[in-house]
Amino acid sequence: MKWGRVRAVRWAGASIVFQGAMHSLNAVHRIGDQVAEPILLHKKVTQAAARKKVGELLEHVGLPAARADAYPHELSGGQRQRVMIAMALACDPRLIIADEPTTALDVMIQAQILRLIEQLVSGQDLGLMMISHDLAVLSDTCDRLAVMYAGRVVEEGPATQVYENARHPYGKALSAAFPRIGDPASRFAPRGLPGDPPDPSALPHGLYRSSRAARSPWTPARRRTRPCGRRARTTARPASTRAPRSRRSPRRRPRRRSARRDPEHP
Amino acid sequence: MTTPEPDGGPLLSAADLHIAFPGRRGAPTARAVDGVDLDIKGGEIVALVGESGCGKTTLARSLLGLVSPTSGTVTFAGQPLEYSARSLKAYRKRVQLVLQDPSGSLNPRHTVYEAVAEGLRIHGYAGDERAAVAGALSRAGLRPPERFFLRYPHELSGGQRQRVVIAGALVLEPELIVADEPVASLDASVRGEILALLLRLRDELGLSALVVTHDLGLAWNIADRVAVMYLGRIVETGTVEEVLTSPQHPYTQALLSVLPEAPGEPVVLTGEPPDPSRIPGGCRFHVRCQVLASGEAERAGVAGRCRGEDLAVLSGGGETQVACHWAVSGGAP
Repeated sequence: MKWGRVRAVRWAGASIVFQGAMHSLNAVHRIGDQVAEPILLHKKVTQAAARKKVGELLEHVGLPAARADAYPHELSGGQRQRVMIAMALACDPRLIIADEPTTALDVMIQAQILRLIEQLVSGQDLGLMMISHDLAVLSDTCDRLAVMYAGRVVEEGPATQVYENARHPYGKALSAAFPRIGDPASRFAPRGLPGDPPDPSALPHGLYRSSRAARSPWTPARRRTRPCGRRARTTARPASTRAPRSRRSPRRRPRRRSARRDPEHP
Repeated sequence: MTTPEPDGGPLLSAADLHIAFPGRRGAPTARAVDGVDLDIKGGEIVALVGESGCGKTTLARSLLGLVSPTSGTVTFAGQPLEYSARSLKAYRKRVQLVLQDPSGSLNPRHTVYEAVAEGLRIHGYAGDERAAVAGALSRAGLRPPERFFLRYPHELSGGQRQRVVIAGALVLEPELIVADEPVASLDASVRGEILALLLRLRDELGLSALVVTHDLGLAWNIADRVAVMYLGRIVETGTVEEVLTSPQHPYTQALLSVLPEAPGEPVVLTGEPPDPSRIPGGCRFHVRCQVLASGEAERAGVAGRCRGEDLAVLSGGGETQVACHWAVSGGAP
């Protein structure tokens, strides 16, 4: 893509909601001006029309339009995240990338933001790609789930299936890291993954790509020697009897991991 | 290490604690903590849960003596806390704080050794400093400790940094740790390890802990007792099993219902928690209460009391209690 095309598409075609809304918003500009900035850049509109659109966007994400005059420090964490979402929606994009949109928020505000995102996606036919380490939240919001480890997607499939029946040891460990309340197995037994994430500049070989695998209780012994980069797909075929076709293909195209909401099941 | 009380009383206890912050430019006083009783026994892990802005961090800070209460007392090992510099220094040797963000709580220009040894130096530790630092690091799971002595925080991963913070808290051999959102900024795979570390320290050293969090799964993972806080007051308390599997207070029910894997229809409370400078009359939750809004409280005949009658402060002991007219009258399932 040429630079001019990137600039034209950025924010107008695809936009992003960042994690820490307090660091992503400019502290010395009113939020209304910040939301209006992409509108003024991408569309031929007057200042007044942009202001009107900002008011609509803020109402759309559940903030009063009068809050456009507020500075970021005057808003709570949840309200700032709503402003970030309004900003992402400013130019009616087709794809929104949400990078840990609720990680720093408490459970009730998280539920409010996720409900808002779900409504926007189903109401406006948007594509949404959500990045998070919280599989419970992802399986609740998204249709498809791809688990990434050491630079590669190691498992991909329908969200609930990957969350409840992960096949890859790393996917299993991630879904076990968040306990289900009421489940006696996780009482006084927090589960994590021993060791640290592998250094991306010196990736070891092997399925798990690190010494983490060897020590991990979730790695079945027979899998430890398998080469890396295979997806343990949560579809009908088990990973060990993979079709040779994918091996023949010289290079797999990266999949777009957008989780598009099914309009019939909002 | 923990000195058990001769009468089996609590290690740390707050009694009728109030903390108010004066409003600026004529604004009303914010009552961040508005009547809290809370006991922590030796070797017990208590989780304090609630929304952002409900006063849980202010309560934790006042238990550490960082904020002096407007009224009420904090008692540690039977002695009321004094706020002179000398007695606070002695107190802080026995009670330590672990903060949320390890990147923010470590000095980027101090090595791991300096960060952990700082507490020893402040308190004039007479023994072998090197051995004490090495011991604390290996207890916090950084082994071999010598390998980490000369590292700077930016050379460590998030989980390792949080372990350094925990080692810094452990090096003075405290009896109680107050952890404010200890895993909120960490990755899912590291989260379990840090929580397992807190549990192991309790088993090995008899360490008590107050864990301040908004993560109910964390409470289920490690805590013995849970206290749910709303707008400056504890509204439900009891053992983790009782409170989290059969919550009585509508607020606790709502908190549990919005967890992604929770069964049933989620009860998403609208808006932010109300302003602590304008605490509503009656039950402080009645403005957002889904039981009152649905007419359930009306049918149980308590709606008038919900709107007009404040509830008594729950006692800090171990028994399961709830501050709700509807639940007390037998309306809850």
